Amino acid sequence: MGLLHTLSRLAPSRRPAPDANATMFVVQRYDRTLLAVTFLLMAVGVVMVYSASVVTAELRFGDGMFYLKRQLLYLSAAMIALLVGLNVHHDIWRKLAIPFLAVAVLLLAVVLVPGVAATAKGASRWISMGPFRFQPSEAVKLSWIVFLAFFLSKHQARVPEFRAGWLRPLGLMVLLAGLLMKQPDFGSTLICGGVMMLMLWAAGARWLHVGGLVAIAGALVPIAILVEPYRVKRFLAFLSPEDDPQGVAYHINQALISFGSGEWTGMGLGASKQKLLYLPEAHTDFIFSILGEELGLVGVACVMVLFAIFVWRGFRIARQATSSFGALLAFGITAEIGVQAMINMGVATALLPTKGLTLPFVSYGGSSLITLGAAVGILLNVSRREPPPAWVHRLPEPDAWRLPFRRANRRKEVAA
Amino acid sequence: MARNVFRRTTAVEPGPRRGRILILSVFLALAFVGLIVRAWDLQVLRHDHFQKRSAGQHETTITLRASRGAIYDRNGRELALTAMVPSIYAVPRVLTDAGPAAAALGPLLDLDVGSLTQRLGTDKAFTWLKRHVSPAVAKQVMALNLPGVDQRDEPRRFYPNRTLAGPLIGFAGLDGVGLEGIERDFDRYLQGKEYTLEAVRDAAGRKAMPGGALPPEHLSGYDVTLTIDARIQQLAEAALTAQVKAMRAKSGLVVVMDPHTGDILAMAQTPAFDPNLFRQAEPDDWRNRILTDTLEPGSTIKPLLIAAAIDLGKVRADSVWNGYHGRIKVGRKTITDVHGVDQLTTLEIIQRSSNVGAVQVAQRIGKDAYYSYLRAYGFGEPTGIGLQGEVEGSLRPAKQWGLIHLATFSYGYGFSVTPLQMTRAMAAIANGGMLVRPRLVMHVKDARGRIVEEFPDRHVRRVLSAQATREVTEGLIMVTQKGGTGRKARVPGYEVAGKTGTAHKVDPLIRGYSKDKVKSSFVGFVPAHDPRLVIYVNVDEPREAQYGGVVAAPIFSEIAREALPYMGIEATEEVSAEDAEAEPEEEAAEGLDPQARPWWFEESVLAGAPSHLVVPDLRGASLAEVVQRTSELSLRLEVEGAGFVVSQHPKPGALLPENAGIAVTLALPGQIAAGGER
Repeated sequence: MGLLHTLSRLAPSRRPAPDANATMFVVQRYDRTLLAVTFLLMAVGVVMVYSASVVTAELRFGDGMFYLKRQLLYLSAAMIALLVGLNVHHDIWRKLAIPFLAVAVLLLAVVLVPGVAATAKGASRWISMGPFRFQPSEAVKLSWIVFLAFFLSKHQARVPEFRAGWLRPLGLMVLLAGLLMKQPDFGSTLICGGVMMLMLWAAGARWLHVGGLVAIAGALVPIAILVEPYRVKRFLAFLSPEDDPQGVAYHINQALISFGSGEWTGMGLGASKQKLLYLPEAHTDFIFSILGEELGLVGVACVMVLFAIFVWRGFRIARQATSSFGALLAFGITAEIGVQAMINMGVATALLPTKGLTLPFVSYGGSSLITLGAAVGILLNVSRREPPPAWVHRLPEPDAWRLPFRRANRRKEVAA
Repeated sequence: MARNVFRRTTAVEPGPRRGRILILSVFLALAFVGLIVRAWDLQVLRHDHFQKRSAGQHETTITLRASRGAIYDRNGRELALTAMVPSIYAVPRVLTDAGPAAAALGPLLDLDVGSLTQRLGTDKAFTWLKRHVSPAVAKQVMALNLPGVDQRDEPRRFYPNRTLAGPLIGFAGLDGVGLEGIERDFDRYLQGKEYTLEAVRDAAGRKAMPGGALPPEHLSGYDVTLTIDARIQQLAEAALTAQVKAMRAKSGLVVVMDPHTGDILAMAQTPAFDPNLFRQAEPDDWRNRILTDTLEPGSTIKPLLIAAAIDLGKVRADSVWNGYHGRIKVGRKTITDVHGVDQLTTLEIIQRSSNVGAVQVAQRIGKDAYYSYLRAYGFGEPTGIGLQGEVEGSLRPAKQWGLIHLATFSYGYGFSVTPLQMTRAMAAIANGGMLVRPRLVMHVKDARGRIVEEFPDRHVRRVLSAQATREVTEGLIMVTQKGGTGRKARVPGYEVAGKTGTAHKVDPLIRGYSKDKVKSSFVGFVPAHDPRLVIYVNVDEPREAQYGGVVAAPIFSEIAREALPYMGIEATEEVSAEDAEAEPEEEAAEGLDPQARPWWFEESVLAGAPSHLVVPDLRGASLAEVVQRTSELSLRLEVEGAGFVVSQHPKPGALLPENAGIAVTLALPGQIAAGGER
């Protein structure tokens, strides 16, 4: 709680409650409930990463605490990212949205260059940086949300339009999906597409357009599955996991065995048997299964409730935001974290086929944790409802760069 | 700046989006409920199913056997003990590259690379590569750092004296089950009990025991202490081996017994084998032939016959018998002596081993009396020594005896006995007429040194009167005096009583007795008037000579000459010039050297590795004992505390290189409990 206290002192003190009729919003303290929930989830993560990884770490590195130490290191980096997000007014991200997305996309392209990327299990997702590895798709997710928030708030009035509000973001999404699927990273593609859809819809896109998107995605997903034999196998394994428990369905079977042996209160912290190399990726994508095994339904429900509170607070921040950009940003971040958590839990309980998505805040992974820290920081900054400071205000409006929107802007100027 | 799209109060186009967040919230809430229901279904409703599958793949048990008890001689010298040695195993499932691994392991473990590649290339979870390797080899294997190749310490049976008493001790197999000899027959005491440990197994097949792996003390096997004296055993083996070699004989046997208690002090046979390497020996040599083989006693039966006749009172020691000049006719068969005489006394029948005289004595007492005495001596029944495979010999009932049987039985042909039976019958004469039960095991102790079972010595029955034995003893002494057949059995300084025997073997080809194949024997006791040792010697098919007095008697003499001073029995007779000249001094050339052993185990013989020391169990010993034991073994000693040893490092049974150190912690009895509390 010491850290919470310190953080609370960084923020301005509480002002009088906002008047419902006031047109100007009053600056308030950041959402401490959301921060507490975040910390709790991260703490659960540290404990569970240690418990789930100790056997693997001992075998690979001769040090059972290898992953624990790294996770703690990443966590401190995530704290710095969180403090930056909390203390820098979020409007700056609106102004930097385009270059940020450009850099993220560039890094995504770099991963595809042979020799640069570190590969694991047939997928090249990482850029090696000494002893650490950076996963650009995590940065892409955040910058894509920032960009969409900027784009949709800027062209708010034209969101219902087909070309300006539907086709353009879809076009960018197709580009992004192409790069992501090249890795291949099915999970991130799904999250980026899903978040775009939700943000479009929330920003006021027509039901018809959103329905169309859903229809296209609904058609694309089976195709994406069918073109890759491994995805077909995974999908079939998902449909009937106990048919071939030693083959393709091994992973999902082990996840179920792990999760199912938990009962009400679990086998006890550290007492998982499935982490004895039976369940692969026990400390990353399938940490929720180990959590279910060791802490039981009680532990599982607690983690779910924490995510529910997170989503509730996140949407509340979105509703109360002072600007459309802030609102959409908060909504996008919350939706992305909430949806990804739901998907990960669904995979761990075999409700959804295997994707390769982490459980936010809990799973082991530096890129993910640091990005999430930044995202929560931004979310908390939005919750402060501050007007942008002068120096941010003085930055040129992103239109000045006019990069992908040259024609649209020109037409707007003409119309004006 | 654009206003928040989600706020109702904000009149911004196009309409309220607050509802959409609500819709999404409801949707996520539904998913949330769905997940909780799913989790409840998996974790609570279907818990048993998954629990069972989980247990099925990680739960396992490991069955171990607590360590086998040791076998000691009567002075506490180890004849068989168990030490922990490494065994190499592989988890082929983990090993990715079978070829290079096999190429590296093959020469180290002395295994064929081709078949090793095949074994490592499978998907199995476990396979032994080589069990019981030397620590040096294990170290080299571990240095290869191959994934999935590991070592595990296993108990291995060692026979530190090598061939000493090999056929008597027998051996235990790899799994610690006795297969031959004492190891088999006393397996129920020696064998450690099996115990099962619960363990978990990881996906690579490695097992771990969360509950620990040390067996409780009460599961260890019991220690068996034999009546054998390793020193006498070694003397007997050395003398026997030398003479068998000199006589170019097929084989030989020696039994040494204490006539009063029936304690077997030595049981030697040649050819012997090394139980450490029992697989390299002929299975035929594994047998303890002293119990399992029978032979015709030949002339060695004569003192027993005459003792019976004197005991009955039908014959006096000084009775005079007609010698018939060496030829007597029984039915259609003529029985002859080597040196015929005109007349001779009863005792001279023994001294000269006269068949003619023996036949007359047998005829005097009759077949029923002779048969009942032979039964009383214990022929035709097991001796009760407690070893498997003991035979009773063949002795037909008196009803089936004809005239010729009574005659041939009088000089030891026509029935068969075991060497052990013969020894014990002679012991009855030596001890004043009591038949003893041969004793091989003195007692059995548990791991804490408490006696579990004792085997007291037992007199079975009285066979002869003391007077009869005294008179026959005089005849037996005459055998080794001037004019006797067994003069080579003399021991300088001691009076020897004994009887020679030369039994022609049955040749199955000619369906009769072979002329040149004999079993030469000598059985006697010493000192004649206060017998401490009964020694039975039998040499099979000697080729350089045939008479028991030439072939077997020197072995008796050799053993007795060394054993009597060793046992602290003082010489009573003056050493005559004749004795001194007749007995060439010869040192035991090979076998056990009691000073150099017994703790050292020369592993080099087994595995070509440097010598290692089996760490002794010092627990419970006082400091003085510890110092003595460790200096005997030239171990460096580190001592902590005072009193009695409560713990030691390394643990008993571990192997240590030479000149290594051992650390012991001592405490006084009162402090042990307190120490345990801390």
